[in-house]
Amino acid sequence: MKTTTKKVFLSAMTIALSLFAVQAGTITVGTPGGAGGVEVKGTWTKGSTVIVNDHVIIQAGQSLTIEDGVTVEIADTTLKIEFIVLGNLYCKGTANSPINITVSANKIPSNVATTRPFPGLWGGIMCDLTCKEVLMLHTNIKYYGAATTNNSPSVLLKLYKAAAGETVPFMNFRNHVDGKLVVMNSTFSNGVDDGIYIEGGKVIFAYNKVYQNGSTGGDATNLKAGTIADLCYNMYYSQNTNAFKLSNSGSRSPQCVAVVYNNTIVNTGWRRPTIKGGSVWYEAGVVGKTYNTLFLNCRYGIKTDGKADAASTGDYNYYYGNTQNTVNNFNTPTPGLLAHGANDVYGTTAGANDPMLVNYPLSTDTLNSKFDMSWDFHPKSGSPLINKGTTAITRNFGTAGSGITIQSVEYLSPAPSTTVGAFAVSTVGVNDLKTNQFGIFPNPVSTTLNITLDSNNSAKSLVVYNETGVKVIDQLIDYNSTSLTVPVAHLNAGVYTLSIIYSDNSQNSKTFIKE
Amino acid sequence: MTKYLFILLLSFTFTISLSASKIKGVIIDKETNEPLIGAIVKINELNTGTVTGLDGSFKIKHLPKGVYTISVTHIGYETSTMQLNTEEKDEKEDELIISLGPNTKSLHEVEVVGHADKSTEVSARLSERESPNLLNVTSASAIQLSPDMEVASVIQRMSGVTLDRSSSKGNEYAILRGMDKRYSYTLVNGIKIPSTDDRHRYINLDIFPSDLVDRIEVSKALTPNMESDAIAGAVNIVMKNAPDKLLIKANISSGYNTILHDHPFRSFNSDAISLLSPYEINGKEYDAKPSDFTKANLDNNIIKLPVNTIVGFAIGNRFFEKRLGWILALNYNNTYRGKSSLIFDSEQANNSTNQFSLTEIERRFDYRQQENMGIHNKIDFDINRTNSIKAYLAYFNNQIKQNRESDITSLKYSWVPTTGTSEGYIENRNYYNITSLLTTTLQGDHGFFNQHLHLNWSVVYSKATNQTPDLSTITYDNFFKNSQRQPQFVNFSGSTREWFHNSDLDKAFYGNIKYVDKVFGGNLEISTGYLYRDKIRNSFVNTYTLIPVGPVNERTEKGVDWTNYSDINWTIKNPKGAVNQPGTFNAYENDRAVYGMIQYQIHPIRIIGGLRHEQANQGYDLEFHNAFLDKIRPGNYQKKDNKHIYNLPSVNIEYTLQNGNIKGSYYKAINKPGFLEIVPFVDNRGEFAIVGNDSLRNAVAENYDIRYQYYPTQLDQILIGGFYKKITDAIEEGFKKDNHGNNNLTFLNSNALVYGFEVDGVKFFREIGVKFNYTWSHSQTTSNKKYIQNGIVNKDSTYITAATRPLAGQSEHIANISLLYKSSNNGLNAQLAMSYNSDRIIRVSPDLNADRWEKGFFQLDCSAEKNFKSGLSIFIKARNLLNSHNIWYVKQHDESNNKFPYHENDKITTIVRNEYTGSSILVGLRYKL
Repeated sequence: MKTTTKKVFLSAMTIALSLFAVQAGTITVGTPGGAGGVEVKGTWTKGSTVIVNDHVIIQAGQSLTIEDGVTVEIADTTLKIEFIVLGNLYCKGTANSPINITVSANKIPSNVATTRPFPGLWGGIMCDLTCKEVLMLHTNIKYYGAATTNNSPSVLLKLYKAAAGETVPFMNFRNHVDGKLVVMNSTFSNGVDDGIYIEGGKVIFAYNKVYQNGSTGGDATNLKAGTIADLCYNMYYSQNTNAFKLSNSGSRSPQCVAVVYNNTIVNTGWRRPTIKGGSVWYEAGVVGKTYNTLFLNCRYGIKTDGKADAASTGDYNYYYGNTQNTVNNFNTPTPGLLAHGANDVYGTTAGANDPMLVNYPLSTDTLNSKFDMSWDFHPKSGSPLINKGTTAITRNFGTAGSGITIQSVEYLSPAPSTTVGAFAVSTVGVNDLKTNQFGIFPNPVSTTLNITLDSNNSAKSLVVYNETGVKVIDQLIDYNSTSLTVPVAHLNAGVYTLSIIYSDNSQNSKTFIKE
Repeated sequence: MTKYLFILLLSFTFTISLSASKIKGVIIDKETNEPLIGAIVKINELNTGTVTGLDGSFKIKHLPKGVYTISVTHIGYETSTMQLNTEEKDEKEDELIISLGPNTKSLHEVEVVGHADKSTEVSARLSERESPNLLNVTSASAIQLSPDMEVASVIQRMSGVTLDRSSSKGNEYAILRGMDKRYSYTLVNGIKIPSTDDRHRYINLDIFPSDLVDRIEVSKALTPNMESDAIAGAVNIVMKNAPDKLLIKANISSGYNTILHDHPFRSFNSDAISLLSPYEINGKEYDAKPSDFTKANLDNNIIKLPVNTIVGFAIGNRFFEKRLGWILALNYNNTYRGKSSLIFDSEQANNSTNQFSLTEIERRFDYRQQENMGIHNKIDFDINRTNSIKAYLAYFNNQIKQNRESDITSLKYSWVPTTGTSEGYIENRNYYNITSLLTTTLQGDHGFFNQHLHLNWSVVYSKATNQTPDLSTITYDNFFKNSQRQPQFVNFSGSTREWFHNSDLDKAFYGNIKYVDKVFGGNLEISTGYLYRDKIRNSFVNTYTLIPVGPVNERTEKGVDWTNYSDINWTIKNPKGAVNQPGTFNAYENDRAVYGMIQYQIHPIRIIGGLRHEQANQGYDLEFHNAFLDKIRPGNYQKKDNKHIYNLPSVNIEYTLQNGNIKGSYYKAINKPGFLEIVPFVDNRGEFAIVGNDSLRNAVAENYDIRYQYYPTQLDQILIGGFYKKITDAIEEGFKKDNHGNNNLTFLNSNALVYGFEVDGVKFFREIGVKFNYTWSHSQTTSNKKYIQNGIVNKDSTYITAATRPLAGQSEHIANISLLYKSSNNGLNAQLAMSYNSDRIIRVSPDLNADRWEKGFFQLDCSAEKNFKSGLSIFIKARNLLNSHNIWYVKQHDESNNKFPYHENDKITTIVRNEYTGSSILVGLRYKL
C-alpha cells in the first residue's frame, strides 16, 4: 500500500512540477558581456520571461515565434542590443496576454518619467532582405533607438544605414521584393528617433498606439520606396516630427503607395522647429492618400515638398487647434501645405470644432510629450467626428484574396469608418434605450450561423472578427429585417466575435465558437 | 662681380658713336654647343661691352671703325679673346660665333654631366631633345622667374597640363593630357612617393615649395624602366643638387592676398586641439563624456595683419677635391588666403519629370592659413671615377588652419521672399590639418669594365601622414518670418567632432643594370632592372555627434543661452564614437616588377623597346568584425587579396633630322583602383547606398604618341605631337543594380578613348622670349546614370541608362602663353603669363544630365625681378590679376529655378557654383652668393 501511494504522490508531483515549469519558464539568451550575438530560433513559449544579455540573431531560413504573455527583458544597456532578423519573426500577443519587450527594471534610469524620456537603452529590430515575414500583434515596445556602436551587428552586417553612430528605429523592414509586414494592436513609446522605418514590402500597420517618441528628431512611420502600405486606426501622441513621413526616395521598386486613414494624431511636430515638423509629410514621388484622420493640436496639416506624385491627396480630415497659432498653421497656405480637401473640417478660430473626446484636456501644452494612461480618445456620443469620414477609399489590402497572408492566415486592412479618427464612438451608457438585443444560434457552429434581431432595430451591418482582431466577415443587413443567416463554413476553427453595427455607428457584440 | 658692374656703368656712359658699325654674335659652350646666357663680351680698347641674352646672342652698336680685341668671359669657362677689324667688313654684319671651353680648375674629373647645372632653361631644352621618351621640362631658372610660388602653378604652364583645384580641402593636383589625376603619378628625384590623400594615391603638389626644386620633368610616354601606372604620364620633381662650388642662397618675401582686404581674417586656437580622439586615448570601450571635448578651439579670433611670409635658404658646396657634395635647403612659407564661394545645392525630382531643382543657396567664405616647412638634404660622394653614392632626405610638413563660415538658406518650399520667410542655417567649421612627407633614399651608381657595365640601385623609405584632428562643425538656425529673424537655436541634429588620419608607408628597392657597347657602328644599351615595393596604407575616421543640451526641450538660443561656441553645453549621442564607417580600413599594396629594355642608336635612328613584367598585389583588411557574425554570414569579414600580373611592352623610335627629330612611341600602362574603391564598404546614410566594389579590375591602356620637334637654334624649338589612348576597364563611378534589385552607386569598369594633339613653341629674341603651348584633346567614356519614371504602379521606377561623356577633368582646349623679358644690362627680368582652359567636367553626377561642368577661364599672372651687385635682387610676383572666377554649371535648365537669386537669366544651363580667390601680390628680396 505504501509504495502505491508513493507512486501516486510522485507522479502527481511530477505533473504539478511540469505544469509549473511550462507556465513560468525563464529563458536566458546570451551571457552577460556579450559575445557578438546569439542565434535563436523556434519558440519562446507562452508566459515565459526571456532575459536577453546579447544581440539576438535569427538566421536566414529560420524563424522565431514569441507566444503571448512573454516578457522580453533586455538586461544589458551598454551593448545597445539589437534583434537581427535575417529569417522570420512572429510575435503573437493577445489582448489579454500581450508581449512586452522592455528593459530590466534596475537598468531603467529614474528620470525616464520626468526629464529624460528617451533614454535609448537598446537598439531595435533590424530586418534584412532575406526576412520575408514579420508578424507583430499585441506587442509593447519601449526605450528603443540607441545609436549604433562600432560593433553593432547591424553595422557589421551592413543593415539599415550600415554605419556606427546612427540612431535606429524600433523596426527596420526592407524586403521590397517579397516581404510581408503586419503590425497590429501594439504600442511603441520612449524611442530616441524614428518609430518604424520601412524600405519595402507589403505592410498593414493598424490599431497601434505610438506615443512619446523622438528626442530631437524622428518620424513615427517612415516609409521609403518599395513599400505598399495601409496605415489605419493608429493613435499617435507627441511624435517629435511627423506621424507619417511618406517618401519614394531610395531607387527601389515598386513606387511607394501609402493609404493612411482613420488615424488620430495629437500634439505632433512641435518639438522640431524646422518646416518639416508636422503631422503628415509627402515627398519625393510618393503616392500618399490621407483620409478620415483627426489632427488634434498638431503643428501642421498635410505637407509636401512639392515633388510628391500627382495622385497624392488628402480629404475628409478633421482639424482642431486649441490656440490661434495652431489653427493658422493648418489653414494658412504656408509653403508646402496641401490645400484642404473639399470635405475637410477645419475652423478659423482657436477652439473651434471641439471633437468631444471622452477624456483629453484640449489645452494640454503642445510641447508636452508625457502620455497619461487615463486619457481616452474615443469620441463621445454626438461627437462632430461622426459621419465626417468616407468609406470610398481604395485600400491596398482591403479585399479578401488580395490581403497579406502570413502563416496561412490572410490579413486584410480594416474597413474605413465614417467616424473620423482611430476610435469608434464610446458605447458606455448610450445604447440602453435602444432595442439592440440579438441572438445567435447554434453555438458552437459549423456551417451556418443564424442571427435574430429585435423588431424596430436600426442594424445596418454585421462584422465578424477572429481571435487576433482580423475581420473575416463583413455583411450588410437589410433595413428592419429581424433574422438573417451568415455562412461560416469557410472559417477556421476558433473563437470569433460578431458585432452588429447600428445606424448611429454604435455596436453590440457576442462571441461564438466555430468547430 | 665688381668688374661686371664697372663695365655696366661704363656702357651707360659710352653711348655716343661716330661712323657707327656693329658687332653681333653668339657665345656658345665648346663642348655642348649650348648658348651661354650672361657671358660678358668686352671690347678691351673701349672698355665697353655687353652681356649675352637668353639665346646667347649679343650686339654691340655704334662702334667707331677700328681694330678691337674682344674678350669673352663667363663663370666656369676659360676667357676667350679674338681680334676684330671692323674696317675690313662692310656694313653688313657678320655674326661671330665664339665658343668657350670649360675652366678645368673648377670642374671635377668625373663626367661633366654628373654635376652640370641642370637648372637652366638651356639644359631643359636639351633634356627634352635627348630624352628617350616624350618629355617636357621646366627648369629652376624658369620657376624662379615665374610668378608661381608653388610647384603646382609651375606645372600648369607646361604643355598639356592643367590643375585640378576642385578639392574641397583646397589641394591641387596635376592633370596631364586632360586625363583625371588618377592617371598620372608623381616622383621626387625619380622615386615614387607615398600619398597623403585619405583614399587615393594622388600627390598634393601644394607641399613642394618651388624654391627647393631644380627642375620639373613631365613624361608623356613611358619606357620599360619606368613604373607602369601612368596612362597619362608622370611628373618628376627633381630637387636641387649639390653645386660645383660654394653656394649660398637666401630669399625672403612678403605678400598679401587682396581678397582679405574686405574680409578680416578669421582664425582659431589650434593649440587647444587634442590630436587624438577620446576613443584613441582611452580605448574602444570608453564612453566619451562632454568634458573630453575641448572648447577653446571652437571660438574664432581675428588676425589683424594677415601678411604672407616666405623664407628660403640654401647652402651647398663640394669638398675633398669636389668628390663630396652637399646641399641643404630649407624653406618656410606662411600664407593667408581667402576664398569666396556661392554654392547651390540641387536635387533631381524623384518623379517622371526628373526636374532639376535648386534646393539650397550657400554663401561661404574660407579663411585659410597655410604654413609649409620643407627641408631638403642631399649628399653625394664620388668614391672614385666609376662609383658614387648619394643620400637624400626630404621632409615636408604642411599645416593648414581653415575656418569656413557658411550662410545657408533653403530654396525649397520654405523660401518665400514676398513675405520675408526663409529657413536657413549658419555653419561654422574649424579645420586643422597636418600633413607630412618624409622620404629618404640611398642610391648608388657603379661602373665596371671601362664603363661598359653600369649598375645603379636605390633603397627608399618614405612615409606620408595626414591628420585632421577635431574637425568641428557647429550649425545654428537662421530662420526669418516676415523679415524678422527668429530665435537662433543650435541645430538639433547636432554638431560633429571628427578625427581623421591616414598614413602611407613605402619601402622600396630599385636595381638597374645597364650594358653599353658599340655594335655594328651603333650604340647599344641593354638594361634590366627590378623593383620591389611594399606599401601599407592605414586610414581611420572617428565621428562623434554632439547634441546641444538646453533648459527646455534641448533648445539653446544664441544671445540668450550662449554667445560664443564655447558656451554651449553638449551631450554625446554616440559616446563610443563611430569608427566603423567607410574610411576606416587598412590596405596594402605590394609591387614587384622586372623589365628588359634595349636601346640601339645608329644615326639617324634610335630605337628603345622592351617589356615590363609587373605583379601587383593589392589587398585590404577591415578591423571590425566578430567571430560569431563571421559564422552567421560567411564572407562577411572582409579581408581580401587581389593579385594581378601584367606584361607591358613599349617601343620608342626616334628619327633624327637636321635641326630636329621625329619620335613615335607605343606603350601599355595600367591604372590601379584607389584604396577605398575595392573595399566592399556600404554607405547607406544618403538617398541611395554607395558601395565599394571588390571585383574592380585594373584599367589597362594602349597608348600611341607621335611627336615632331624642330630646333632652329639651340634654344628655340617648335614641337607638334599627337596622341591616342585606348583604355579598357577605366574606373568610373556609376550606378549598378545589385542582386536584390537595389540601385547602388559604386565603382565600375568601363571603356574610354582619349586622343588629341599638342603644339609647343619657344622662341628667343635677344632680350625677349615667347613660350606658348596649345593642347587639344578629346575623350569619351560611358557611365551609368539614373533617372525616374513613375506612374506605373508596381513597376520598376528607377532606370539606369548608359550615358556617354568626356572624361572628368578633361578640357578640350588648353593654351598657355608666356612673355619673358630679360635684360642682362639692366639686371631686369620680367614675365607675363596667360593661360586658358576650356570647359570641362569637374564632377560626375549619378543622375542623368547632371554632371558638373567648370566654365573655361583665363588666368593672368606676372612677375618682375631686378638684380643688383653682390647678388642681391628684389622681385615682385602678382598672381591671378584678372581675379578669374571658378564657375560650375549643369547642362540643364528648368524655369522653376529662374526665380532664385543669380539665376534670373539662365536659359540653357544652370550655375551651381561661383568661387573666386582674388589676386595675390608677393614682394621679396633674394640673395645669391
